[in-house]
Amino acid sequence: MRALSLALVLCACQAKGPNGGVLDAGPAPSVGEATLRRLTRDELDATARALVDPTAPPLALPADETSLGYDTFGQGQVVSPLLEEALLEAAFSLAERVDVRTLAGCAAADDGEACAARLREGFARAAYRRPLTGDETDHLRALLAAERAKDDEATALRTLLAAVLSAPQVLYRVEHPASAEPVALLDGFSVATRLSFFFWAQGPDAALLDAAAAGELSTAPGVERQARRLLADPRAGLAVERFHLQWLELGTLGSSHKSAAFPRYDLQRSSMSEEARRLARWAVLEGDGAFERLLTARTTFIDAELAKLYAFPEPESGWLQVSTQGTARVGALTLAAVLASHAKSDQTSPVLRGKLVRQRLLGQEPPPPPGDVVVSLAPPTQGTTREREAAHTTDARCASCHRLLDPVGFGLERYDAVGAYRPTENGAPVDDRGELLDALDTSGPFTGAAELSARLAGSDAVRECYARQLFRFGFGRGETSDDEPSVRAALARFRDGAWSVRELMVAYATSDAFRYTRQVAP
Amino acid sequence: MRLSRRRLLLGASGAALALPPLEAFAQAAPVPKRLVLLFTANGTLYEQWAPADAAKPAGSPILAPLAPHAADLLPITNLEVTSAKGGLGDDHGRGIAHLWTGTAMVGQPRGPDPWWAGGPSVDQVAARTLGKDTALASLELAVQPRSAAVFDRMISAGAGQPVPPEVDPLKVFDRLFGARTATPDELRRRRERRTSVLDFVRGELSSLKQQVGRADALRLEAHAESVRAVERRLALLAQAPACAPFARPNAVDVDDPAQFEALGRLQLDLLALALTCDLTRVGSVQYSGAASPVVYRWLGCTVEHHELSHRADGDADAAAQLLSICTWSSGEVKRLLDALAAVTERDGQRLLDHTVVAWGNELGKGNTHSHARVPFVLAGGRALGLAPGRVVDATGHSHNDLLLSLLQAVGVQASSFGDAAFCKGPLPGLTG
Repeated sequence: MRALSLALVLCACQAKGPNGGVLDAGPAPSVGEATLRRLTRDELDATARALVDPTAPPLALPADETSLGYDTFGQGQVVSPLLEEALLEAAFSLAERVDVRTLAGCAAADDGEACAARLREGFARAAYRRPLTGDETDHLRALLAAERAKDDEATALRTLLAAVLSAPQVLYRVEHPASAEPVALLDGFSVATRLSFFFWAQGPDAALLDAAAAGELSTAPGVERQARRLLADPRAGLAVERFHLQWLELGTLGSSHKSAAFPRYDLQRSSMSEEARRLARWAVLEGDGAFERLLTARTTFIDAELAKLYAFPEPESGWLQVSTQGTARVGALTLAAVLASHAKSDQTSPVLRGKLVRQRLLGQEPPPPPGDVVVSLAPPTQGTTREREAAHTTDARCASCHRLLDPVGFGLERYDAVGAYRPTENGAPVDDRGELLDALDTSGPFTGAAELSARLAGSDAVRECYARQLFRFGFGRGETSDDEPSVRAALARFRDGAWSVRELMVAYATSDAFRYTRQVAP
Repeated sequence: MRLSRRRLLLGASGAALALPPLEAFAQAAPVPKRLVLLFTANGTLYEQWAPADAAKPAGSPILAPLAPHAADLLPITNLEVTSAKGGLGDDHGRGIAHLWTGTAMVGQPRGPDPWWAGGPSVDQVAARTLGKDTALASLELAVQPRSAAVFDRMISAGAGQPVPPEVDPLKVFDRLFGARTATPDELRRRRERRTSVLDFVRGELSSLKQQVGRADALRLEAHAESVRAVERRLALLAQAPACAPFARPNAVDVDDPAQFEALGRLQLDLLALALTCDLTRVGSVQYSGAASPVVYRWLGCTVEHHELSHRADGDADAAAQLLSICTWSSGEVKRLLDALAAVTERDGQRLLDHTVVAWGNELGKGNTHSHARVPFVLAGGRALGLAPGRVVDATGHSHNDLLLSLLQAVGVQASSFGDAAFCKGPLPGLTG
């Protein structure tokens, strides 16, 4: 029980709509209500690098509030005084890094007025992710005029740049319908913004804005063309990394603690995280991008720290992709990052590992533990984990839930609390037989990580859960019954595309939920 | 001539402080009232925490490090966080979300909707009154919170509006004092440029508000509030003569588990300094978060705190480790009280007498997830009507009563706080 008491993130894979599951009648596309989203810290960093200076360091913004494990949810993300101050200082530091005339593409012959116009029409269009309205242009003009009265031209331009970077039009993704119907297509620039953040975790490039301006994003084929272009670009890496790190609950790795039994852990954490990023990028963006690659990859990426941890030969320098054929490493579930962040400080946790599989891969929600049961397990220096955790399944009040969790985690018992391989525990060979009970189409006994991973990788239930997780991350909200047609259509394309994650992403990008918006009363 | 209280001379240690000579203007103004909230996680060992003798508020093993401040202490026994006993969220998450709000969380019980604290925390309500004239309406600090999820957010501006804490003392320092290295003229121009940009941001926010739905407009309005708060901070910092702080702290790796204690001490010192310099009158320090996973290696602990808190009552090893953690926490709180007691206000009383410190926890007992007998300790507040130096038995009361008392102590008019069903009125026995 006690181990189950960790936060239970609500993640049931069967969505319940606000209307009790009643779908809208009529010909209008069915889409859930979107929330105003603000750029996340990662997205703002990427945007600063794309717009201002590719060598800019991270902006040092506070962490974004997470919901369901994802930092993309607009809900709960309010700009506090702390964040506003950080954004303001970041805008001024960025503005101080560059020569504004060069950034704006001003020619030597351009006078101050002409240069400012270039900044508004070029740089500001990229930052606002659409051409500025007349009012917006006027506001920037007025600001520059006022600054010129107080500062020299270069400094005034810098303040103008800081203002553009601080603008709420940059920070928030305000979307505009193309028409007045209750459920309407989004205008091209709003679609362009959705596309670029979904695939790149940053704003659109010039080609995408041009496509929006040319009306190419008002049709599904037009959107698909751009989606495929974005996905083929190296910039797609960041969004793919971000989703998979958050899906697999690796966000707290950097702040996790281990006992003194794992003295190298603090040095290993960042390598573990980087390995997870690289594996996600490789699985999704290289080859056929098939979903199963995430879970059954027989390759990984190591640096010297991970080579030590995994007992692999050390790379001469930096990072190296290696084959893991014949080793204990097979896909995401055997990543040190996953195993270490789903373990206790001094020992493994079959419960936490089982819970990860249930919630994030199968979409099942274990009930919270009963509050009145206290179990003290033996210390990790005695016996095996399986023996120590037996108390969970001998007490009936615990067993009803732990039978769903512990036997899954037992299959990963050959990986210790930091993810190193261990064939024995306290001198006894590790028994890594496990079982998935009441686990949809994955039910049944298995042995070890490889069999577990293969079972999950071939499961329709797991594929559906993954698709729903991607919806939540990508749309920044939970799916409602109104979104079901889009989710169903995307799942069908996922299947028809040989379970390629890239096809799933394209399917979401061309779905009604992506291209339409439900208008809400102001 | 107007003399600001902020013209302070702090010793290198930050300990020996004296306020400047008083002038008529300053004497006429009342000494500000302050509120500080502290959080430590995973419940307590109640028998080792609760003082046996009502006249000896530091008379328990866990509170013993606070003995030098016994006359300033007001532990509250048998207080229940009733509102958190049911409703949305799990026990830990509900515990921290209810701790200072006394309000049910918002969200969906099942399905993909997230949940957050359901109302403003008591400090944010107090800040609307106390924070009107200070550079920062409130200062939220934390020590290695695990995440930015509901478990690690105890401060809330309103329903679904979690307030993030600053985790890096260096950034806190720069926020409070950083710009003072520039010349006055440079500072003025920097401030003016920032104010121009903030004015612009506020204008654009109000245009955008017309283009979004009602719930989103509320969030934009909250953002505009934050912009105003930053503008006010810039203006007030500019007016204030320097409150010379101790030296800028060295950078500390905020993710390094070995730095937990050092980071906490820096945050406490900075909060004390911010209060001393009257840069804010409302502050909080949150150690880790609900279900804290910290391994207190420097106390000899071998297992993470949350795990220890779930061991059975008879587990001597776990009990010993928990006792060392809880006792250590008291020692850290003492550090803050020391700093607040070292400052003499213009009425001759100490800063601590004009401050109510409230220390709480998301649970009463870790291994049962109980919200009964949650360990609350108040400190200070003697000049605000509190009568510390004893133990108050709150049997039969919910913590909403305590939260209401906190508000009233700092002079905020209120007759109820949080979920009214759990608020009978101010908690009896606190005010002598």
